[in-house]
Amino acid sequence: MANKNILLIEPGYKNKYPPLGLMKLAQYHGPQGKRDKVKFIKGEDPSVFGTAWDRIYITTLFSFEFPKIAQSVDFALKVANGHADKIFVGGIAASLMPEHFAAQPAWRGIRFIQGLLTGAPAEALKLDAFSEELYSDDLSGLAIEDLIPDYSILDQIDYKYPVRDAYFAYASRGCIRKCTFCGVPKLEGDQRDAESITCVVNGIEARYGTKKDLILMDNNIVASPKFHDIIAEIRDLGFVPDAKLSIGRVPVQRRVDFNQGVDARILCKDPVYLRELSRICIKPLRIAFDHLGLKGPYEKAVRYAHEFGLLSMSNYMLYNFHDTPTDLFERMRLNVQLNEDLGLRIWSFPMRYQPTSLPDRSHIGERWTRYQLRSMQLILQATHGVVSGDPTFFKRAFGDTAQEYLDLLVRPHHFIFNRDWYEYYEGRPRFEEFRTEFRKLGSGDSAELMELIGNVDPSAMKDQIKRATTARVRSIMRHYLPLPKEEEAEIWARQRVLKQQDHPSIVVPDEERVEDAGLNYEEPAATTPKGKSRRNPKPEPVHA
Amino acid sequence: MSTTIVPITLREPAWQRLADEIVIGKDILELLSSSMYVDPMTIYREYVQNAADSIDEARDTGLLSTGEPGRVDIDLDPGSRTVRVTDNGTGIPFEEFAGRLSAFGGSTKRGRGARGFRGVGRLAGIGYCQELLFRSRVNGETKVSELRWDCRKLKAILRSVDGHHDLRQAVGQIVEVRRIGGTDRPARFFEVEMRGIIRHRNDQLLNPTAVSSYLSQVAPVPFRENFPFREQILGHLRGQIELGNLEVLVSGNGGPVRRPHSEGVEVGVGVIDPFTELELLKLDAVDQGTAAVGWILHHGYTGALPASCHVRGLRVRCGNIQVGDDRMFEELFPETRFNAWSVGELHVVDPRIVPNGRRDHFEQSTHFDNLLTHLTPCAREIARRCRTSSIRRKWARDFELRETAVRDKLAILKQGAVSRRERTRIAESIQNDFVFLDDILRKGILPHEELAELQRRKDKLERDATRILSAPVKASVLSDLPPSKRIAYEQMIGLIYECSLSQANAKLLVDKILAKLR
Repeated sequence: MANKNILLIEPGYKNKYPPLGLMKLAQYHGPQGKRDKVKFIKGEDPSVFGTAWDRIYITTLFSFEFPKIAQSVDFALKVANGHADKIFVGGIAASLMPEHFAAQPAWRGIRFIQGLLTGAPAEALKLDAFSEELYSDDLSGLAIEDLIPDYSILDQIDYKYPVRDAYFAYASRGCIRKCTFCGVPKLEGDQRDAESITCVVNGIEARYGTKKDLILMDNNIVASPKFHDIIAEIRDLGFVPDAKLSIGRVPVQRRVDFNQGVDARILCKDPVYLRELSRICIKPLRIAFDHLGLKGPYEKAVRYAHEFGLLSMSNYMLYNFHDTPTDLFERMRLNVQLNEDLGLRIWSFPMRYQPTSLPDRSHIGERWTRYQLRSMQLILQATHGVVSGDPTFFKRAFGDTAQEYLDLLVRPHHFIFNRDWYEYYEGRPRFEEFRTEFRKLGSGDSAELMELIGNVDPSAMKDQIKRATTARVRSIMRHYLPLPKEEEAEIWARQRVLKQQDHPSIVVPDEERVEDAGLNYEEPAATTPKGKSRRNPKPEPVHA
Repeated sequence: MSTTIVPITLREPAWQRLADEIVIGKDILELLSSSMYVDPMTIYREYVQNAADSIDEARDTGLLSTGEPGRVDIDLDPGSRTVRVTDNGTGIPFEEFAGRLSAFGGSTKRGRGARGFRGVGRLAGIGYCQELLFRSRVNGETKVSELRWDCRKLKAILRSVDGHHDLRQAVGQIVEVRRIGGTDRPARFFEVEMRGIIRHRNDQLLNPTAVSSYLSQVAPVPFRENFPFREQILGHLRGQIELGNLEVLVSGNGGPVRRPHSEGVEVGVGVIDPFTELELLKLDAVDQGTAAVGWILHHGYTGALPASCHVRGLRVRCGNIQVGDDRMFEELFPETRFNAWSVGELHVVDPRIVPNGRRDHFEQSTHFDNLLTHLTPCAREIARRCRTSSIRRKWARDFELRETAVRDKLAILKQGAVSRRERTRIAESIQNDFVFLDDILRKGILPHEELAELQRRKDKLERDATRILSAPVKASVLSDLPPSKRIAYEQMIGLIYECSLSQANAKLLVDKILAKLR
């Protein structure tokens, strides 16, 4: 039953890693599988309208990308001329919030697949033998999840994944922890070992050539009882410290990346874990630092890492969950201190928490305000999402103390957005005026100001002024009115002249960045009415 | 004292099969006749289909030689309001005659590749006549078998509220059989006779033109000799399906019925839009093999085709008999209206794609679904052609309008009765018009020949414009007038042009004024 037309769609969001699920489906249908004709598109490509598709698969990633996912599903329905039974939607968002997908009446009949495609293909895909669906008799084939991903489909699209020259594999699935902010328990369940990574690496190499890096997407590798064996296997595959790959003229450094991070609570228990990790070319070492309660284990793990010569580290720092802004500041500050003490290079990537079942990024943690979150987003946009461990840089971007950081978070947004302009250039008098007024605020005034600006739409700021009860608050509220568009454009133009180029002072390779920090996320239309949205290139970068 | 808890497992009661409780009521008859065949014309399709199956069988068993055509005679007698459909197929021997013609379902044709196989089609006439008779004779029989359904009595039984009739009792009261002499009848035939045809709307059941044009679209009859794509289409279908074409003759309609296709479609009175391109289709089945073969005839796509051309729409045939109507695949088009712009036909090859009992659609299955999937791109391509053609026509029309406008303006300049300023203004607007015309020619959407023709016309127009614009202003009668008067006239004439909706009409008026002044 070869020669069927199979369409694979990844919605048009920006993402870092290629869609492994679709690549495995491509393997299932492709030249070494069912010998069908497989087409892969990213986003909506109208050229597919000319073909009769026997099946359409759509992958999904983050829940908050729901609008883009919805666009792809609607597109697929159009391509399939309404034949919903030909469409299969799987992946992370579809698994994390199946009820949200199932609740769309226009999508009735589409099959939403939760979790991994383990088990026989016909069962995993819920194919109906009674209706004689294509491949519904495949009850004994190898599970699609266990197939070698088909890298060749990536050449069919123009989009370049920041990480692509790599073997993508799992040494284990699931996780021993059940953190409430995490989607893994729902997606993968309990921790267990996966197929041998050597088989996957060799399989990919045989079919698609040698890859530079090894990306292991384990959720908690150090919790695996086979941790030592896995490290030995990675070494056997050649990923030892300083391993180089010579394909072109210049040999390139290879690296192993446990891209979901490793668990400080286990690492701190015994130096053996980091000693083992130092015996492979791990780069960067990612240690999650989700709340200040992990300070002890985290610090200890970092010191062990330093002991074994692992100097390049990356951190995921969850915020907007149960933490406070001060909690986040202390965590970031600790990294600066460790950098200074140990001479490390730790980059932190604050990640704003969104519930895994929310179809947008609107969540506001109980100890954050909408205003503070937007301020944090503006600061991170300027630092390109990275918190550097360099003390001068850090102080400039986030302040020297927790109080300075808190003050920064309540600053009028245009002062944050155009920081140099207001702190060093022509905007300075206005900023000074604000500062003077801000310093004069009593504690009651500050609380009132927070209350007034905390969770309102910028367009409603004008009305909030009227609600101020004291003259001081009323006066300082003037600074919170959004700048007129013309004035803002003028500032941007003048700044461009003043500073020839806004070169970022730090360069972080894409492969080390967090997958989606929501840096370019625009708040829903209420704040920026359609057609009037701010289309500023970027906020001013922070210079040390 | 101690208590022991004993678990009680509740067993689900077992299912029991029914035996004597099954009732098959008389109403089944209504469901199988008038309810099944809503469009009265479908009775012709049903009887021709039965004839075609019987003729195929006769050919397979050697009763019909290769050269001898399968023939169906449809005799319409408006005087006695009688219709007779007679074929030269196998016929039914007397021993099987009453049994087969009074049965419900259970056709012996199922699984033998015949077009009909549910054993109900013969009841199609019941709802549309007062008496339905079947006659037949097979080779070797001296007498003709005859069976009669009394449709009047049937109607009375169906309507009666008193008494309980099951299907068997009801049929027993309305169906009778006998053997009659038949010296004047062929040695082998089958005939359906409907007496007392009811008057339905414009009495189309007895209208030979209506019956012929219906059968020309639906029945397995050959293409016309002069249909230019006949051989190509037949070549494409050969080996995939047996057409089993019949010679169908409808009394009062001249020659045998032929498919309605010709060299084009009459889109207006005497205006033929010719077929320019034949696209042959082969649609894959779910597994190996072919689901359907077919063809699409492309033409100018100037608009929806009239229903009277009888070829409108993407249609589908099974056993070379049409299933459903010309709107069967309407939903596959991005805009349903484009179905009426198309001409095309599919022949189902995959035996798993099965028409439903009413033959107005197909049984829903993954195989039929697959057919729709694979046909969709064809429908989208037709829609694309329709849209392109409509955009193309719009540009061609725009070109013509602008060309006329330039000619009008040149005529005004040639007339020489407007002021120098007005003259410059007109000259500038002509330059703009040329930019517009160039834009149309650059669109790349017009067909090559049309583009060459328009380019030629534009070049000519440009030459004329250069000549008129560079020529010295022709001395009009105004030039003889004293300057103040001349200026006043020129102003007034300028106003006439400015205030007129049609520059051509304004020019005629100015011509008349100038003639008066002369």
